[in-house]
Amino acid sequence: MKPIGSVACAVGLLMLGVSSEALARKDNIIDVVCPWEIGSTDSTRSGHVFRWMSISETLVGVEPDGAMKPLLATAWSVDDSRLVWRFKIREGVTFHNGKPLTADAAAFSLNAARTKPGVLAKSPIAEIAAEGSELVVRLSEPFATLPSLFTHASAQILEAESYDADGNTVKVIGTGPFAITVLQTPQRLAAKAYAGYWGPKPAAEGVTYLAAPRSETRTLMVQSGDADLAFNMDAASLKRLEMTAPVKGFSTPVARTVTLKLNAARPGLDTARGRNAINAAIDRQGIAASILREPKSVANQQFSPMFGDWFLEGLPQFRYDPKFTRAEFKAMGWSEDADGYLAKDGKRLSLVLTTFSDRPELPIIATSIQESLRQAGIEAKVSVNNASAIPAGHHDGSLDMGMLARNYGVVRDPFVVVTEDFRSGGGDWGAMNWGSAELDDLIAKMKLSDGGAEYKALSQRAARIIHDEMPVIPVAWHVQTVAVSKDLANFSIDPFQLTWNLEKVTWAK
Amino acid sequence: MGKMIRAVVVPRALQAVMVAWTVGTLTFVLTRALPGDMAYRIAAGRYGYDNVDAAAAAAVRQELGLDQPPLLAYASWLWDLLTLNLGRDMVSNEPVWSEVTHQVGHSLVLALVAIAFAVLLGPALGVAAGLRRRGALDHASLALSTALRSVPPFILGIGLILVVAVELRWLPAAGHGGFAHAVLPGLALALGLAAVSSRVTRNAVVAVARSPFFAFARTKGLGEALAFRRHGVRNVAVPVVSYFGVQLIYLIEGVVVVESLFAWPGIGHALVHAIVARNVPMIQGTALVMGLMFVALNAVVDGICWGLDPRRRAS
Repeated sequence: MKPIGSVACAVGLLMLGVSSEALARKDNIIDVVCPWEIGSTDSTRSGHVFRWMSISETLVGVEPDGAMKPLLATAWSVDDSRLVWRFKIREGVTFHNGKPLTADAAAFSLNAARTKPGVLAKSPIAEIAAEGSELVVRLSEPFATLPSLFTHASAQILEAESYDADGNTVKVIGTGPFAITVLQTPQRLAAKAYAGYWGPKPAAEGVTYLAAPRSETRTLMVQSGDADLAFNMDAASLKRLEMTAPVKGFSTPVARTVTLKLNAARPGLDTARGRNAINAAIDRQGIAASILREPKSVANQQFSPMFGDWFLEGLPQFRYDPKFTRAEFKAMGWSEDADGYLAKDGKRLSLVLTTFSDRPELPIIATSIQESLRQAGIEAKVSVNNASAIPAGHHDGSLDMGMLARNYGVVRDPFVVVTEDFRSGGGDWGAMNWGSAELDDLIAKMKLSDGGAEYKALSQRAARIIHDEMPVIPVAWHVQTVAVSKDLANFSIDPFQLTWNLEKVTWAK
Repeated sequence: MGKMIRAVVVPRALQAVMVAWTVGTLTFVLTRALPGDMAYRIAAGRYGYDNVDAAAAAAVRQELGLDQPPLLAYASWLWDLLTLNLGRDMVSNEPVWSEVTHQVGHSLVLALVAIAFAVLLGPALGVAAGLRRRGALDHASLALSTALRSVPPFILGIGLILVVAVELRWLPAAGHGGFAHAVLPGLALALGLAAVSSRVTRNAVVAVARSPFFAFARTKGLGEALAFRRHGVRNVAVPVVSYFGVQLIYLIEGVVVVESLFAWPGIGHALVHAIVARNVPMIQGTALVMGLMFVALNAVVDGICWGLDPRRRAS
């Protein structure tokens, strides 16, 4: 009796049997792995995943330089009252179920999205209707950046069959180059090239998406060749992967800024001088070199260069000088206590820095800032919490400082986010207990602006106020990291992260 | 059969009811005791951290009636449980029952693969070691099983991926969709199970081999293999099967970590996410199903032991 031998044989046979499938999987399919789960079929909740994977499309697209481009709408215009917008719907487009895209279908889809929380619900849209081959949007007040709302994933166009009688999305029938074959929320999706696609045919026969929340899993999947694209790799893993696997690392600045939100009602944070003094205690070069490992991430202002209208040309880098911070506070009437911390009226300058771990770099940056502030005489205590602790703390007034990564490119132009974050009183993810009458006035003017030079002048002034007043400190421009298999060519990162352009990816030889 | 129902099924059914009530009540009390505002947490789970704001939290609070007093919420939950209504997932708005059944299916596949590997590996190694007591194989298997049992399944999983998926490229590293995907997570769980069961088997085999009835079987002229088949296997099987029952807790706790590592959409993975998002109905639903699964698996073990051991039937 030789049980060991027979067991080994059985296991070996089993492995051979299954491994042939595993070996044979080198195919014309692009396998993507990333940390974000597919929470739902609903476009207002998880629409970004279907946009990323080129399954659905929006009326308007965005070029890498931020310019808007026609997608499912070929042209658009606004009338003299600035209240009625007309979008010409592209002809010859079919949904994945074979039905043609019409203005009616687009209106149906957008109206369904408008009933749920999201950028469309917050906008001044009064009515969306079809007139012939045009989609007509009527507004309750002028809103110059309307077309940029239609770049957002929640405004993707799905066929009527995607919805149930109550308007809930139950299937995802889009117009993109890939059509869903398997959708298992919250982790997996597979799609194959759609033969009836209106644009150039993709090189890949299909795409798959897997949500793997652990970065170890993603790293190992790239190493074993199970994934062709792995998103959100930490900088250290990416460098190691490039040495050990046939992988190329991509890191591109994207529309996010890592920011430090300040409660302007706290002593020390209640003046622009105090906030600017704290700004000088942040070691951006150090954070970029040793945490983000990306020199391009050093921020010298709130909005990165990709936001042409909002980027202030010619600004120098921020100085890093904790001694200056200490001297500034002393000049403002603070003195040192027995432990060397700054204090006023017997109370130490001690602040809680709340952050969260959904983005793995945030707690590390927060800890490094805690140390820099200590050197400047400010006691900071890092609290790693759930993301929702920041808006919750904003509303009950308990937040001192919050570290977060704000996406200013949610709808191409930062205007919508700026309105939310920097209007008087501040916003959940932006300024807190701060306001500027001039900025409120600029926001009102920008709503009516037609764009062009006038809009640029207004947004430059708005960016200047935010820069000088520093209600929110820009720490780093976010850099998206992706490990890409060397089998792939023509991969590029969309700085607005609206789509991953998988239809443009080809095979290297 | 009637006797078995009285001895095995009825006590386990009563236990299941107690488990359901205890697990539900504990999860209810514990989730309420956690710090942080539930409405904000749920909104963060629903809309993503970029989109959670006071308006979303307020909408969630109103929609889900989070303002009602805890005792009232507890009473309504208890009533729902009695009427077999697990409620709706607060994040995805799907019925908890349909989500849990989808996930429990994946977890069961994983558990069965793990048990199958464990049964293939552990007892076979144990019998071989027990029959050659203090032999080289016995010593080696002791060292191996100690090592395997002391390494957490998470580390075992990473090790397996590195060797089998990254180096040898035999199997996919993670994901789900085919049987090949179940092998590595199943093995990561099975190795720990097999480590202990091989030692239990080995000790049972040693005890049987030394017993007077086994010596008698040999004396009356049966060869070693035949004597072991006729008089050894059943006697060895009872402690081994009982021990598998005790070990199931290892399987269930292991599932939580291993699923997350292998991106396997099971119930353990769902539980972790539900806790992060303060998704109370999902926490209750998954914890309940895990508790009941534990009772059911124990009932199966009892049933098998009942069938194997005539002494139990007689008592």
